[in-house]
Amino acid sequence: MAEPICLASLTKTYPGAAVPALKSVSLDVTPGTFLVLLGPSGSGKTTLLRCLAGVERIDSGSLSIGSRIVADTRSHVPPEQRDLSMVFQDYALWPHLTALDNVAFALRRRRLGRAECRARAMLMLDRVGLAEFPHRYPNELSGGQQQRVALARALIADTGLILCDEPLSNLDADLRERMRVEISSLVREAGATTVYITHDQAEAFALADVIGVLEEGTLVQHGTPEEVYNHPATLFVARFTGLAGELPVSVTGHGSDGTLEVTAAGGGSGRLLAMRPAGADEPALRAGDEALLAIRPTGISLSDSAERDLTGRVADVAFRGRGYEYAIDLPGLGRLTGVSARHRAERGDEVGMRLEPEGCHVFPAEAAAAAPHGHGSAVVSEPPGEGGTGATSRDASAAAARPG
Amino acid sequence: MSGSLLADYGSSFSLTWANYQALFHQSGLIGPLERSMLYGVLTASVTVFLGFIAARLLSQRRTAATGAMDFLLLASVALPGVVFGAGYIFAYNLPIMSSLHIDLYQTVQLLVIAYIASSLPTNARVLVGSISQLQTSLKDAARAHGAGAVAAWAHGVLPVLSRPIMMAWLFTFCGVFLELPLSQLLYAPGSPPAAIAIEDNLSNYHYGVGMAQAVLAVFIAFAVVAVALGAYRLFAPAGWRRIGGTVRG
Repeated sequence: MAEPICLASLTKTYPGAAVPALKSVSLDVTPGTFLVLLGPSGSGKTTLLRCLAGVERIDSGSLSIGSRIVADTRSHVPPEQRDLSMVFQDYALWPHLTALDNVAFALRRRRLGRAECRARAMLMLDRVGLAEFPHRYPNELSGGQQQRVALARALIADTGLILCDEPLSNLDADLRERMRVEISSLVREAGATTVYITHDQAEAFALADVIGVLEEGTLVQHGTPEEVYNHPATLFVARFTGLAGELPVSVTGHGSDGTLEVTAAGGGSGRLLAMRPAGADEPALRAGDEALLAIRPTGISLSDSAERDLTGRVADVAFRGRGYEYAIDLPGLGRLTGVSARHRAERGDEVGMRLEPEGCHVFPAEAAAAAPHGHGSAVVSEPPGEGGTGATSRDASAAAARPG
Repeated sequence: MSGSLLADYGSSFSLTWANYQALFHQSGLIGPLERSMLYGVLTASVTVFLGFIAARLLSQRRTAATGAMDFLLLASVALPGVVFGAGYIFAYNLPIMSSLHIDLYQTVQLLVIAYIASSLPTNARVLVGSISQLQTSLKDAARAHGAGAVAAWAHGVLPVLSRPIMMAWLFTFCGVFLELPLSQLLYAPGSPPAAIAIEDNLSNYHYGVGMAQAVLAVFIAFAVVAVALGAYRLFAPAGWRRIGGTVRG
């Protein structure tokens, strides 16, 4: 039966570390939810998962799985008594056991007979498409096959909670996409609550019922993929979940429906409409304030007509199957990437662009200094759910606009 | 070996088993070999246990304490056995030891302690490579999938390390079985280990018996290695044998 999870002010500092790995993380996960924790390296997502698994002890706060408190300041229920399963980044298959025995191992806790365990393990291997290889050892299986064995091991015991520690990060792009679909369907069939961690925002959006974004040990936003993408709480969340670029702007007024009117710094554009910050902690922006306009790839498109919000010059163009993807230099403002269009324009052409307010988010200028680009500031070059050539990510240091 | 088969060390040019018969029938000739076997088994078992703990500490996150231990283990590898033994003689003859009721000088216990202390650095070094390559997730996975701490170690870690542990045990056993410098300085009177007995026989012109003792000692060492490797091959689960060896399951 799927288990609810409740994290209350969870804090964890590793011995000798100057800063906490987790800072007062609170989160409720309803039974059967597929929660994806998204964050860059060092954001605390693996620590959080290991605390859930019980292989790390928490310093303060409390952690409940189902109706039972499994960890708080005074008590710690060991992993084997939490009745959960886990898929590891490095698969963690025991090299001395065959695929069948690896899967059957997880049934020992159910106190079934050996024959029953092996029969069930065989069925589970069949379910993950490995019925032909039950007697192969892990080193005789490909990476994808090993990950399937790890998945079968996690599913077979029918636990209420499945933890996945970046299970796709060691696979190549094509296999990753296929395994993502398999994980999604198999785990949902099992009906268990799932906590899945990744640093790949495309993977997170594709898998999650709920996404939690972690930054330096703090849960900065959680919500449905649509909420996180359409209403990023902070500039960090916006950057980490994919931007075409950022422009320095000045706030000129308030529009309707939660929008702000802005103009690009240096008068590089006319009046632009964008969404005001969604985060409760973000300070209110007033007319005259300096700000940063974060533009989603979905919030910008090339304009065929004379109506244009921005004008720039094509720096690069890439054919992406369903259309073209552009990198466009804005004189004095920087560069936008991941701008898509149906038609082709050549390098060096001057092009006009339209901005959609729903895909543009304004943040206070000081937020730019506080939100590191780092590893997490990769951008999604295609909006989630649009498919195309598959979600690809780029380094934001190249992708994000540099205010000129 | 040919020396051990000569009747009177070559003067009559005839070959004989008399030296080997003497080993098994004259008192005090086979005892040192048995004694050294016991010392070897004891020392190897304790050293592998301690060496495993030391290697595990060394392979974990480096702290000042593990750094100091690393230095000490490395430095003591370079210490000659004679210096090590002389140090033990001085240390355990200090008046303070008697006042603390630590009267170990000229006892079997001190010799075994010295064997363990001299073998530990090399043993830890032999094991640290294997242990540092061990995926920590193997134990975590066992625990996450329902195994207790001991079962997780036994099912998730021990099989992977079984061969290096066995090799470290054999390495220590063979080293201690015919160890000479420490034994010379620290053996208990009346309880000479194999190397001392062989040396005594050779230096007292009992060449035939001394050679026979040496040959038997080498044979015993080979036999222990062969029995251990054979038993591993015959009785260890097929999956264990696949790890770190050339034997295919």
